[in-house]
Amino acid sequence: MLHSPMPVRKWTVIAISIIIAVLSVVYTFNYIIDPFGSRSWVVEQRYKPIVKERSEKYNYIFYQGNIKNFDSLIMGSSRAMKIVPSNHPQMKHCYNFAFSMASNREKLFILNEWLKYKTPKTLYLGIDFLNFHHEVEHPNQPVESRFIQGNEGNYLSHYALKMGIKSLKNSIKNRPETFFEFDGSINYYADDQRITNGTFDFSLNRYRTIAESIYEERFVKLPYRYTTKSLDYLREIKNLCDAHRIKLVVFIPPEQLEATKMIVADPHVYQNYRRYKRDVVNMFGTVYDFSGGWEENRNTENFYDVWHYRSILADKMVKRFYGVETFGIILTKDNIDDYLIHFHEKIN
Amino acid sequence: MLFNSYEFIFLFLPVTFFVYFWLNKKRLTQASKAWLVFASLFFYSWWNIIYLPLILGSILFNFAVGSTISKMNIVQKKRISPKVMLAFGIVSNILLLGYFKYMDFFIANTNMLIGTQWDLMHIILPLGISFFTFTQIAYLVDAYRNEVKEMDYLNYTLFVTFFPHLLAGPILHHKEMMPQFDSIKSKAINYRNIAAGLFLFSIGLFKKVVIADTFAQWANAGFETTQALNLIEAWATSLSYTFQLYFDFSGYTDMALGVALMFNIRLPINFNSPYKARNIQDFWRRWHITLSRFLRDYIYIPLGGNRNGEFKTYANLFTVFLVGGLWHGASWMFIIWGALHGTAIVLHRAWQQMGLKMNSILAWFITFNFINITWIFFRAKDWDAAKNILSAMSAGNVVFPLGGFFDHYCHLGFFIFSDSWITNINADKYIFWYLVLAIGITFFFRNSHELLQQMKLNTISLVFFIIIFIVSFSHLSGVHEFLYFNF
Repeated sequence: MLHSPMPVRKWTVIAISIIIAVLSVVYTFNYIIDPFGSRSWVVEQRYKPIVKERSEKYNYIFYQGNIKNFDSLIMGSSRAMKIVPSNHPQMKHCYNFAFSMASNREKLFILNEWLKYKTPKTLYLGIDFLNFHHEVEHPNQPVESRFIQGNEGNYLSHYALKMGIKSLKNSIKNRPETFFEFDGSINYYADDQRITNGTFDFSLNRYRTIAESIYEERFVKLPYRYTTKSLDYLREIKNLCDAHRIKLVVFIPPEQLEATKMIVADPHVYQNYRRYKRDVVNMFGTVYDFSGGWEENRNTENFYDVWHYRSILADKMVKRFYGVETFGIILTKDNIDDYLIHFHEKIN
Repeated sequence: MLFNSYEFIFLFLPVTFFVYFWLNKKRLTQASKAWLVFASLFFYSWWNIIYLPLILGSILFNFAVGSTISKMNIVQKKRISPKVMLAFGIVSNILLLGYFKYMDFFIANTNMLIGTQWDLMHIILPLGISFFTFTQIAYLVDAYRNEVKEMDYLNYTLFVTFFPHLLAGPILHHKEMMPQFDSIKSKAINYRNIAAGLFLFSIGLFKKVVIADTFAQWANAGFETTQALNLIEAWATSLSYTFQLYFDFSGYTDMALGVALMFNIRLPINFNSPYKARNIQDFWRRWHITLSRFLRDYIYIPLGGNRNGEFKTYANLFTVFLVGGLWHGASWMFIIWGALHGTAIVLHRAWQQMGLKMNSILAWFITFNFINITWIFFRAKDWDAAKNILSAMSAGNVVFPLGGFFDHYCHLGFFIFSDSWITNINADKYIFWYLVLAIGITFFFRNSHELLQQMKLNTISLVFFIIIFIVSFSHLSGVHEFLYFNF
């Protein structure tokens, strides 16, 4: 049966018909589910997964033209994504362009892209210790392709189909995903639900375990090598801000104390940790530092995990920018040495 | 326009196909040819219409020169000899190619050598110029040799512009194409050719979008960070590029041959499992076959071939490969690559002359590694980048962690590499399985033409074709150019 010859015309017609039928079904399914878009005919937005943060935000702002709604932007890693601009009147027209593992080179790229369209009023620039980790930062790799590469809106791709099925499954099982709000901030919907239900694990042990595994992953498997290349990109960002008269607010996001303890306990890593803070302060002059032994960072209930804080801390950070909070410290060239000398004491 | 794009597959190909055969059905054969020419020029202009006058001018010029040479061969009394006319035609073509392809290279090297301060012209290379120029030089030589039997402008334009081969070959002979365009058999829809064409096209599409583009990401990342590569990353980078280039170019050629076949036109094959070659000469009989044929017929043989003694033969072989290297691009890296291959072919000939033999597995191993290493010069942006990769491949940092090795890296009895060894090329540990798979496909599987020859129209081939096509099609989202468009 399988080997029996088939007339050539029949073979060709069947082949083309099946291909057209399969592609039509795939396209229709993906179009209706719309896993990368905002249509909610069958599946609500909260059930759709974030696929490629970089291209998703890039497309939203530049290709879809939403840049017109914003006059400022936040840049940083996933540790800046929880800042919700729409919660604060002062940041009402600010877009949160943070994404996971954002390198300083990528931040520079985004600022340059933004400047092609308009000059932002304010740039909130989040900086991480990992930005100075050579093995993580990859300063020589091309960044453009990470944002522009691929078109997630292509509803004939297997990837769209996979994500469409996943979105539908989430919807049927009522298992919402993490998603981006219209202002670019992240909504950890599932985790927030578990916090509301009282099922989220805030135990110190959990945070300690996460801190250890991240330390193992980022600082043991990939031995820390300080890269000064990162500073070059930051310098370019600063120069662009100066040239275009963009108000620059530089900040170091908070981290749960267990994570900081792991860093301080490793002499080599800690030495570089202090170096990075000094270098950043020397470059920018004024830096809001929310990391360290603050009471807020000791409380596990302010964090989803050791690196990612909840909106309660994000709100405090924004209020600090506008002078109505005392969380964190404003580092300057005058107080950085004293601060670094006593840093580890506050941790312990 | 790219073969691996929605606009080509959904719009251009079906519209061109149906209008062409509809016109033929109405016995409007000249109109059908004109339609194919129009469609091919549209295909070419999709990229950038400003180069349309260039290709049209080149076609008009070469047709005029070719026709003149053919007429001179017939008429006995003439003021200018056909040889002079041929030289004029070839030099004009080379000047055109030289201007667009080599001007900046010439300026940069002149500045470096004699200290001039000439500004670079930053000329953009028109798409397919190397291919359509070589095709037309071959036509002029064929005309001089009295091998051109017909002189119809429409047919000639169709021969040069026929869209399946226009951008990246194969490089064609006038005499192998023109009879096909005029054949009565090519005027009617042939379902066997459509089936075979679709089959070949889908294999080519799979090679390009599933295999080549997967290797491309690792090769690109590796060649961007040559200074930081360790031993494993350097080998993974070079092998990734070796397979990317093969699957990319042979995938393109399969698609070109498949599309042409749907129009009842058979283009010459360009690849015949080149990585199975057991010596460098064998490799060049299997890799980019139509370029090798061109270089042999129009450079090696006119230089004297092997007719003037052993030393002159070596010199001719070496020259041919230098030209071949330079044809690929205006860079010293291509010249070095050509010189390495030229040297290898000379050594191989000397080895043969001495009557020496080698174990076939060892011969294959040496040949493959030579090709793999020389591709580094072909791909690297400069000498330092090539040197970095080569030094990392030969004596780079060995990253095998010793402490707790078996605890960390051996799972389920299978040896699995650690992701942290290959961070610089943006890869995960599965790269090694991909490489093993690529080696398996390249060395042990039948190539697409062997598959096509053995293809039987039954349920199995139908299911195979549908799966291959749909899997490839679903990978189209990130459309990437073919590598040989750069040459």
